[in-house]
Amino acid sequence: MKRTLKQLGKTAAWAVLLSAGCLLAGCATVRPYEKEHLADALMTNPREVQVSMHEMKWLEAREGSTGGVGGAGGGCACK
Amino acid sequence: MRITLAGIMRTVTLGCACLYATSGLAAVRDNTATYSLNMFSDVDGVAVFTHYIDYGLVTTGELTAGFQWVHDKVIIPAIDAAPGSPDAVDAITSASRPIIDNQDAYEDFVKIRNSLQGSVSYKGANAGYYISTENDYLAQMVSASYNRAFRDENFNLSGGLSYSWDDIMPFESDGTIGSAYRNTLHGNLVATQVLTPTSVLRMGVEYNKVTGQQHDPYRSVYVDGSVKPELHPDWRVRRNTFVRVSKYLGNESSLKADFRYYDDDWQISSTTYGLKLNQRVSREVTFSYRYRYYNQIPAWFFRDDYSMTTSVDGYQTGDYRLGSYGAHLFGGHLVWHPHKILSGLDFLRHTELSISYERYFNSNNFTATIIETSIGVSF
Repeated sequence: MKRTLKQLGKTAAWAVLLSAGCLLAGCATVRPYEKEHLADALMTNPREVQVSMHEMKWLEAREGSTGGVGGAGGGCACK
Repeated sequence: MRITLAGIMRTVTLGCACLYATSGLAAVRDNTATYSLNMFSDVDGVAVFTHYIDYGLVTTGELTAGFQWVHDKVIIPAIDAAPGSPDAVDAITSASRPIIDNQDAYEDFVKIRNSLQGSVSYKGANAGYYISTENDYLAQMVSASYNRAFRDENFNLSGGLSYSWDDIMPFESDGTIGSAYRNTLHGNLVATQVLTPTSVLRMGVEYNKVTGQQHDPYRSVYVDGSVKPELHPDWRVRRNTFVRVSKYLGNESSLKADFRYYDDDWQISSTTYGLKLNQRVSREVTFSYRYRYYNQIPAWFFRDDYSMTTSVDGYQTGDYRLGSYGAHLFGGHLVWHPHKILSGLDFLRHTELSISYERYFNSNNFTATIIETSIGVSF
């Protein structure tokens, strides 16, 4: 049962990556003047990255896994 | 204070040198400063107060620099059981804190951590240094990354490397100070693709190789009728793959969905699913709702109870994070830009105030409340 979950997770991860790769291959180019919504703070807020890093700090002290935001850190007093 | 002061001075000097070099190359165009207070409290009575101060600047010469100071105060409550009782003995055995004298166990334990981080970026290249100090732990890290945009800035590829080296100096029960180390080599590759005028896909992989001590030097475990110190393997390779899709929904709202798969050679594997809805309530106020689900399967040497068995290949752990469980996290985040109130103060026109409230609970009956408030200013 446990290994089935592991296999499922791994398969799902590769399926998502493969689908994403296929999507990227067929992407149309979006012109700069069409990116108004993408530049909105609702979509790209630099503060959101900071908050994610704060969250990762305490989550790493309470869960067995790590990462997922594209960076790494050192020691933590909260562990 | 053994290495702390020297390390902090070194980092401050490096940070000042970076900022001086930055300001010397070109005029400063933008400054941002943010103060955040994060408060964490859990069902075991553990409380963590974290202060963050972030400062960043951008020059007219495309050079940016960032500096972060973090101060943690961790309070682990005193054992709430009669001295000598089975509950007290169990609590002392499994405590993840130094207990040199039995009396220590009946007093709150307070731990302080400080860290400093500096980074400099120029045309997609980034370099950074990080130092973190506690009275029994010193961590340092150097990092470098590079990112480049392709296809009319519709596709961005980023690669990063970091190396951290930690000195662990635990207080032994006989009053002496131990010595151990932990080193981590980290690499990541992240791709971001604009899919449509309203959607973006971000995906990446991460690799970590950790060597050295990876168990809590203060925790013990009952194994086959006797008490033994916790012991984990001193080698671990950790990998994860993550994907996030962000979609602007129209009507001043956006939705972000993410998925992460993690596994390591201790045979832990986990999946994480997240969903976040951002809604602009007015020109000044934005509200976010989020939910996150996490589950994992245990490390190969984890057992719920070692008391009737032996250790597994010499390893034993009392760390529930290496077991099997699921966890939920949900909460809300309010951001307020007080443009109207500060309209007369040009200097503060880009002020942002925020507060968030989150609840975390897992299948081990662990619950926690996390509150974070912050104020950010751009000038």
